[in-house]
Amino acid sequence: MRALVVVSADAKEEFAAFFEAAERRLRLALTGAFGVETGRDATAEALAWAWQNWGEVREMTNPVGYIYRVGRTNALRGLDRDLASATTTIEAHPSDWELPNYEPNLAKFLARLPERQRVAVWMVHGLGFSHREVAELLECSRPTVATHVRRGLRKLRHRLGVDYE
Amino acid sequence: MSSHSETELRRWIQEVAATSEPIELEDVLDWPPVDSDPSSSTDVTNLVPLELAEPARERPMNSKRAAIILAAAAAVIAVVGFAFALTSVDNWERRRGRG
Repeated sequence: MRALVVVSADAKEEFAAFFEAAERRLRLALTGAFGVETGRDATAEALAWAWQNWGEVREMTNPVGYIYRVGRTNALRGLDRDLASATTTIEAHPSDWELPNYEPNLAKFLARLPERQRVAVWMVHGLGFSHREVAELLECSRPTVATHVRRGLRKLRHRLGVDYE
Repeated sequence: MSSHSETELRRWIQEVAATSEPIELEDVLDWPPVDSDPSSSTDVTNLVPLELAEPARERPMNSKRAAIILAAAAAVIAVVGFAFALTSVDNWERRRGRG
């Protein structure tokens, strides 16, 4: 019984360290993919799932990438099924992202990018995450992330008629 | 214009991201049981975005197809040539026998 308590305490400590390292990155990436509210809710639920399945998650080679996928699943499950055939919530409601004093089309055009390009531009160009950090989340290679960023920025530049590179 | 727009995009992303409140560890630890299985997702956006997909190209002939056709043609020529040679030898031996 005592051993069980010790293991449980270790697990909690381990998970707390994982949470500390991963929460911000997961939450911001899912925000970039699905919008502020949906992204946050999906992240919280995905991290709760990670804790409830910590025995398996801690053995994974890329737990952050897996939890990101869990978060995506949560977000997609929460979608209005009428929209689910082609869009995510932020694609359907880009106005959620609009801020005063900014070019109003930024939200619309960023929301129109394919999800992975949007997340890559959001995380790398906007928030300064490294290609490696985003590659882990998206479970792809660093050059692929670089390609997503480049193509996403090129499209934004083209649509807005400005140079973002 | 270029650097201004780049800075504007970055600032805008940072401002939107800043509206997302951090999640508390305690909330996650006390979360009711979650039933999430990524493998059962009805994942509609995991498809390769159309813009990233290589456009399918109709190629009249690629190198693999050409190699297969050449090999088949060579095989047919070899068989016909072998048959012709056999027939020729046979005819020659018959003529020689008559002679």
